[in-house]
Amino acid sequence: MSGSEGETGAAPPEQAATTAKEEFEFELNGMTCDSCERLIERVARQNSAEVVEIDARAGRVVFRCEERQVAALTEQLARKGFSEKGERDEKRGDPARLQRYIESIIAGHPGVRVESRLLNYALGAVALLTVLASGAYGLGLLPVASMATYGPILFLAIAASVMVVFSYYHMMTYRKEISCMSGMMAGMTLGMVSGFLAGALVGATNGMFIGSVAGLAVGGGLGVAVGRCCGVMGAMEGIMAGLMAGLMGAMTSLMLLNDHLVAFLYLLFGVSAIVLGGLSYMMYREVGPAPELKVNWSAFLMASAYLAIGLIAMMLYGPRGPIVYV
Amino acid sequence: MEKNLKISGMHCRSCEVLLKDVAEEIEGVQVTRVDHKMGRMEVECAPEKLEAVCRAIEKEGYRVKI
Repeated sequence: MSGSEGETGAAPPEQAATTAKEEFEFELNGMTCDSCERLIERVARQNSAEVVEIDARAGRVVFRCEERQVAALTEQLARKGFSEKGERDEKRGDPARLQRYIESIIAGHPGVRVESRLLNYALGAVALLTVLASGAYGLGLLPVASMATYGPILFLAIAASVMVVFSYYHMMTYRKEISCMSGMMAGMTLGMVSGFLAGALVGATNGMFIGSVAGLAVGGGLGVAVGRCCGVMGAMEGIMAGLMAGLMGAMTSLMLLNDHLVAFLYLLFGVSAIVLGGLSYMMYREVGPAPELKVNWSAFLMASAYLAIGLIAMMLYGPRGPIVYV
Repeated sequence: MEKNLKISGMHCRSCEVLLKDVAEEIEGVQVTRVDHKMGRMEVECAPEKLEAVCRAIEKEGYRVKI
């Protein structure tokens, strides 16, 4: 129990409150200048804490506050973009942190409001586009002989398009804040994942050549769009990722034509979701809470629709190679 | 009313966050966009609040032009 209770219990309230305060040292990422110091001092004041020492160059702050305020202070600092260095170094790779991140997004926690909104947009887009595709099929607008065969592939085309658009907008939100190395990695990863998915899906229905071209177009385009902020190298890595992944995706589908292709495509989608989710998490860990979401629901939906419709149109109306799934 | 303010002295994201907080402390003011590289801040507020916003920004050591 607190020191004041162990004595006589007669200490005045002011003294009890003062003696309960301790000094806590934080090592923070993201501190670069005197503006950061002023911002941190402001956060401290708003949380009834006092800054005893602060050094932006060293990334070190000493607060004087009650122990019970530390958690709220940590959260508020993280929301402003200052994450704790010590926590990261000691608990790197701790799956509990990833679990908390995912739970926060699902719960709509303020610190991950960008991710929560994007997730809501994505779920809405998948639902709406699936309903529209089903409606189009019901009206006889889709030249599909059997929905039992084509249905899963069309659904995966929609889901993959939305997932890739989610990832793209998430990266665009962090674009100004991330390091060049992370930007290049992001371009390469998104280029590779989107290229592989597009190549695999279109390759299954249209053959190796069209599948590769689709993968290159989607993967290379998105890879460049994300990686170009880091210069020519970033753009080149995006293009190469799209090229390699588009070819690999189409080739993989051709090789699995007689061997559980649809099951593999679902597996591929799942693994791609994990990779892109990990990329989003990496951005969040590097920068902290995203400043603001730079896309609204209609723009997100339109981007998803364009990509999904483009892929589906290619699958249903595009030229076909000699060996295809359906 | 949406107003575009030109602000000098911002040099990092912390400046953006700081000025957004400072402006939004004033009742009825919402910051829709702030960009330290462009030196701009877009606020939505009644015209009579604008002066208070500018004073709050200048108090933090930045120069502001409407």
